[in-house]
Amino acid sequence: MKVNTGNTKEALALAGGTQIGYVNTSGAITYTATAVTPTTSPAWTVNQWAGKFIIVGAVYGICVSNTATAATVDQWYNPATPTGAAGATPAANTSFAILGGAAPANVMALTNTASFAPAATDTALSGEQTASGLGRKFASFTYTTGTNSYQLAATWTYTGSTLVAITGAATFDVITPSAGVMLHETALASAANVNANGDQATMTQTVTM
Amino acid sequence: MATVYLGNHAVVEQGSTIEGEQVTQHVVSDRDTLSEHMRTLTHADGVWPQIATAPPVWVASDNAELAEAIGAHFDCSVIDIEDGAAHFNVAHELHLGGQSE
Repeated sequence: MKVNTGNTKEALALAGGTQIGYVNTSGAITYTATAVTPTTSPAWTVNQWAGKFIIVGAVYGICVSNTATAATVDQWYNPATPTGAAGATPAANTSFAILGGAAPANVMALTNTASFAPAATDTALSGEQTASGLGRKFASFTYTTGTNSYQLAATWTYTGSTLVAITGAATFDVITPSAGVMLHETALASAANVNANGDQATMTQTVTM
Repeated sequence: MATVYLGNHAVVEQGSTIEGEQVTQHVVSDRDTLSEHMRTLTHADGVWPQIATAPPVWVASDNAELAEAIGAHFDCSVIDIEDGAAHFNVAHELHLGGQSE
């Protein structure tokens, strides 16, 4: 099901929302591997940039959250290899822009919550798996001409040695666990079990447009 | 991210057949192994069984190893990525124009 935050994200992705974007081209700016902090406070509204792209030179980040004075990203990305290694932390004082719209939800997460029951008001995936190879993954994206749907899919390779019963999945816009904007949440008809090192689980989500 | 194009002449969507020589674009993560790529595409819980009722008629990719593995699995031809992309663009334009081959 598409959760409430997913409806908002979809609207923002297509129409930009009430505040289109932000540009900072002057003044001191501090960058870390996961944060942008202009020295002169931009007086942002808390979390107004969550789920949006932050562009800095040759890299970009996806905003996880922001305060009045700083924005947190899940990592920096190289546009040429967005699912590869993280991009370099921008140099201090490099200008940045925050784009309107929304980053895509192309990350899949798994849960082992018993009797998992998605709810429209959910904003996080209860029981989200974060270890033993079952953590978030960048999904493959598939589109076939002539159709009105697309698929997100991923395969997880388990590295543990005890039973994990996977009961559901969700899609997010960031690779950082327990963070980001959730678009869809789905319960499996029956649990997918992994038991031993090397076991694999595959999940495909079809989204009809 | 590697891009794979597959000639899909047996498209199914929500149980309904889609006519025409369609093309599937499949974009994969850099972080997955070849085994994971193949399972994601070919497993019963993977992508291809959800979108087609027959194997692809050709495959193309900018990842040569992946293209060869997919071609071997489905016993279909491996063609140049440029040709695959061209087929996709033609099929997409036909779809936008409300026509089918």
